[in-house]
Amino acid sequence: MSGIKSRMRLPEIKKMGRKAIFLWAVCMLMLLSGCWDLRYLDKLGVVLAMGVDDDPSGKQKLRLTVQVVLPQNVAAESKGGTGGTPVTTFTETGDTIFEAIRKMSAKTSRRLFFSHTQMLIIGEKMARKGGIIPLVDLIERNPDIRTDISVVVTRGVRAERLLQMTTQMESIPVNQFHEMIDVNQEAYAMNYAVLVKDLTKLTGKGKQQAVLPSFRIVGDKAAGKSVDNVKTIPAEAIPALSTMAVFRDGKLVDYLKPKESRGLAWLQNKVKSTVIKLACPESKGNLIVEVHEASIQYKIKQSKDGMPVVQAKLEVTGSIQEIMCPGIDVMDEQVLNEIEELTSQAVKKEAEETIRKMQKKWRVDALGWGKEVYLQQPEVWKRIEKDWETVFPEVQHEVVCKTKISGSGVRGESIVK
Amino acid sequence: MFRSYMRGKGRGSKKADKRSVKAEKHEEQALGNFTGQPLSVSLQQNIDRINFEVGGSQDIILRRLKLTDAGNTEALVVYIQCMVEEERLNNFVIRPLQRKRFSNESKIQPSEFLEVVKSSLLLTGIVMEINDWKMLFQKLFLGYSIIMIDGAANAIAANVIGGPKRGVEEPKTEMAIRGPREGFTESIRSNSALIRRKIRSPKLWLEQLTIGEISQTPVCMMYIKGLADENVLKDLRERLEAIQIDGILESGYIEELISDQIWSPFPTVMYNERPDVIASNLLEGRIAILVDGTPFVLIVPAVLNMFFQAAEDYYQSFDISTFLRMLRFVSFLIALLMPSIYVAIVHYHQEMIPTQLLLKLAAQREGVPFPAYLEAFIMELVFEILREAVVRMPTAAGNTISIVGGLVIGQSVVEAGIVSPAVVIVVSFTAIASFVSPAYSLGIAARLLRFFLLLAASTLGFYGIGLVVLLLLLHLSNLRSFGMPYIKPFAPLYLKDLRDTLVRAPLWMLRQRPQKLAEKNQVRQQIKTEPRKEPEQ
Repeated sequence: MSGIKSRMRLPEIKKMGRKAIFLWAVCMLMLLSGCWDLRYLDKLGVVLAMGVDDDPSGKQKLRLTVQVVLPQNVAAESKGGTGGTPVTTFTETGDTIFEAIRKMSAKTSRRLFFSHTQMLIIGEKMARKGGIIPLVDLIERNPDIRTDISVVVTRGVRAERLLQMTTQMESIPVNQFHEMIDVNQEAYAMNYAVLVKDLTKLTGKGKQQAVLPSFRIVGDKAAGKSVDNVKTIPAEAIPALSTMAVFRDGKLVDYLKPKESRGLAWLQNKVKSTVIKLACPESKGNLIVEVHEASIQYKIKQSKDGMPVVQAKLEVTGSIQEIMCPGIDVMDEQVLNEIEELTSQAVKKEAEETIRKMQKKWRVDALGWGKEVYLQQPEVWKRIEKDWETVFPEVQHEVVCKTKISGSGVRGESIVK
Repeated sequence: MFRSYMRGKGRGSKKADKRSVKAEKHEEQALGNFTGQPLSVSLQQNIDRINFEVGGSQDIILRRLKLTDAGNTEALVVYIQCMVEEERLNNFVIRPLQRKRFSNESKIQPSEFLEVVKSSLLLTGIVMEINDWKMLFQKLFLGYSIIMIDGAANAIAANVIGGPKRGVEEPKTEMAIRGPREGFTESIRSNSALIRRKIRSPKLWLEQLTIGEISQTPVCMMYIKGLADENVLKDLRERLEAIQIDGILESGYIEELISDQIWSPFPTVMYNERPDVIASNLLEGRIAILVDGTPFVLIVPAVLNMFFQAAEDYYQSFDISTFLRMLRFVSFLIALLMPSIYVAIVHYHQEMIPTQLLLKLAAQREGVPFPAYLEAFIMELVFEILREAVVRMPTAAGNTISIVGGLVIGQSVVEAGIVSPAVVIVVSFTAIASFVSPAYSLGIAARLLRFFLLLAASTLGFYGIGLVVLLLLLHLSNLRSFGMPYIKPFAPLYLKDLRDTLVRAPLWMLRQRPQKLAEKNQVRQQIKTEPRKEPEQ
C-alpha cells in the first residue's frame, strides 16, 4: 500500500483536490436556486372557473367569484366515500380582477392557481354595464393563465350563483358547463364556444362585435347551492344553455332567439352537426334532416356605388333521420331533391333572419362582415372603415344555400301510414 | 516470513520505514518473478528449491521415480493435487516412465533421457520443454505436471489439466427464448472452444497473455484476422501489456484497467456470457477478451447502441425485433427520466398536465407529510435497498424480502398516507423499465444518473432536467471506446449503420458490417438475398 502512496505526486493530489472542490461547488450551485418557483401540489387551490359580477353595493367595480377544487373530496368520491362538495367558491370585490384575486388571500388557506382555469363567466348585469373586454386583459397578459378558456355570459342570474350550483352529471360544475357547450355545438349548434383568444382577436381590424354563449338556471335557483340538489331526481335546479348573446363594444345588447342563435352559428361556420325540422311537402307532419357537415364561404363584391356586397354560400350535407308523415318515398331521387331544396330554404331562412336582426334591430356587426371586407376588398374597407357602424345596416347581401342529402337511414319508406 | 521480519524490525524510526519500502520492492520481485533463473542440474537442488518457494505446501506433490534398474538415475514428477486429472497423470505420465527401463544407462546422457521421455514416452497431447523457474511455476499452477530428470538442465511439462470445473450451462445473465442455450464457463480453454465452435475459420486468431504478477491469470484476445482493426488490436495489446497488478480475478478488473474513460457511468467495454453474441461481434470486426476464471467475456470497442441489442434480435423476425428495440430505448429513457419528470411536473409545471390528472395527483398528495421530491428520493432509495437485499440473498430469504418489500413498503406506506400512491407507481414503473435493458451494465448507468436527474429536477424543474440531459449528451459524444465514438452511428452519423440501431432491418438489407470497424472488409453478404418477386403473369 505504501508503495502506491509514494508513487502519487503532490501536484497530482493538488489537482484532484481542485477537481473535487469544483465538483462540490457545482453541486452547491444547485442549492443556490433555493427551489425558486417551487410549488407544492397540495398547497395549491386549483381554480377552475372565475365569475365576474357587478358589485351590488356599488362601491367597487366588480365582484369576483372563483370556483376552487377540493381535491380531497374529488378523490373521496371516487373511492365511494361521502366527502364534502368537490368544489367551493370564494368571493371578493375589487376594482380589477387581479386586485380581487389578491384580496381573496384573506380567505383562502392555499395559494390560488389559475393555470387550469377553464371558464370565465360574466354576470348579465356586469356584461350590460361594465363591458367584457377589460375583463379578459388579465387572462391575455398573464402567462400563467391559458387563453383558450371559454367565456360565457349568464342570463337572468348572477355569475356567482351559477358557480355555486351543484351538478349531477359531472361532480365538478365547471366540467359540466364546459362539456355542455361542446355537446350542444356538436349536436344542435345553438351555442358555440367562444374563447378568450377569440375575444382578443376582435380588437383587430374589421370591427367585429362579440357574441357569447349564455347560461341560465332552470328550476329553483335557491335550491341549487345545496348538495341536496343533486340527491333528488331530477335535480331541483340545473344549469342550462340559453342562446348566444350579442354585444356592442363589449356591452351586452340582447340575447338571440333560438332559431337566430343557430342562424348565427351557420353564418359563423360553427355548425358541426344539427337537426333541421321540415314540414312534409304533401301531408301534415314533420321530417328531420340531420346535418353532418356545414360550411360557409363569404365573397365580398363591390356594387356600382362602391359599397360592399356580401355573398354567402352555404353548403350543407345531411341525411334524413326521421319521417313522421306518410307518403314520402326516400327511394325516389325526385323526393330527395325536393327535400334538399326544402332544407336549403330552411337554413337560408334562419340565416337571413339573423342577418336582418343584426342589421336592422341591433345594428351590430357580430357576423364579421367588416373583417371579410377588410380581407377581400381592402380599398373599400379603407374608405368605409370610419362609418362602418352606419354602413353595416345597409350592406346588401345574398345568401345561397346548397344541400346534399346523402342518406336516409337504414329504412326505406316510412312506417307512418 | 521475510515480510513480517522486516516490518517488525523497521517499526519506529523514519529511516527504518524507508528501508521497509525498499525491502518491499525487493519482496515484490521475490513474489513471482523467476524470469531467467535456470533450473539446477541436480534433482535434489531442484526439489529443495520447489519446497522452499512453495513453503512445502502439501497439495504440491513431488513424486520420485527410478528410471533405471540400478536406480541411480532418478526422475521427479511434480503436480498439484486436484488441478490435474489424476487418472491421466497415472496412465499417460507415470506409467510409461515406470514401464520403460533403461538398461545401459552409462551410455545415455541425462539430456538424452529427457529427449526420449519427451518424444516417445509421454502420452499426453501437449508436451513442452522448460528451462527456467518462471515457466516451470507458470505451467505447474496451470495444472501441468512437470517431469524432471536428475542431471538434465531442462524439465518437461505435460498437459494433464483437470480438476474441478463447471459444465457448460445456460447463461444466467442473458436468457433467450430462441437461440443457443450454452453459456461460457470459468475455464478459458472451454470458452475459446465455444467461440471456435461458432466460427470455424483459421482466420479466428487467438493471442494469449498472462496478466497478474501473482495470480498469473491467462488472458486471451480473440479476433478475426482481416476484420479486426489492426490499430485497435495494437492499442489493446499495449493496454493489456501495461497492466501491472497483483491479481486478475474477474474480467471486470481488465475492463476497468483498459477502459478509455472510467469517470463515466456508461460502460465503454461490453461483456457477455453468450458465445453467440461474442461470435456475432467478432464477425463485425470487434475483439473479444477472455479471462480465465470468469464466464464473462469482454468485447471492444463497444458503442452505446450495442447495449440495446439482444442476441434474439437476429434470431426472430425483424418486425418484432424492431419493436422490441424501440421498446428498450423508450424503457431506458423511462428508467432514466420518469421520477425526475414526475417531480418536475408536480413541483414546477403543474400547468402542463391535464386538469383531471392534476386533480388526481393533488388528491393523492393531500395530507402527505413530505414534499414530492423527498418522497421520490426516499422511495428510489428504498427500492435500491430492496434490490440490493434480494440480489445476494438465498432464494428462500429472497421471497420473504420481496413479500415484506412489496406488501409492507408498497401498500402499507401508501395506506398510512406517508407516501403518495403516485410516487409508488412512478418508482415501481421505473424499476420495471430499468430491467428491460438486455445489458445490465447500462441499467447501472440509468440507476446512478436517475439520482442526479432527481436532484436537478427538484431544484430547477424541467430546466434542470434539460441541463443534465444536455450535459449527458455532451459527455456521451465525448466518450470513446478504443477510438470509436461512443454514440456512433448517431453522432457522427453513419446512415447505413442506422439500419441496425433503433430498427433492425431484415438481414438481407444488412449487407455491410458497421462502418469504421472492418474497413477493409465491409461487405458481409455478397449475393442479393432479398425476397424474390413472383413473375407477373
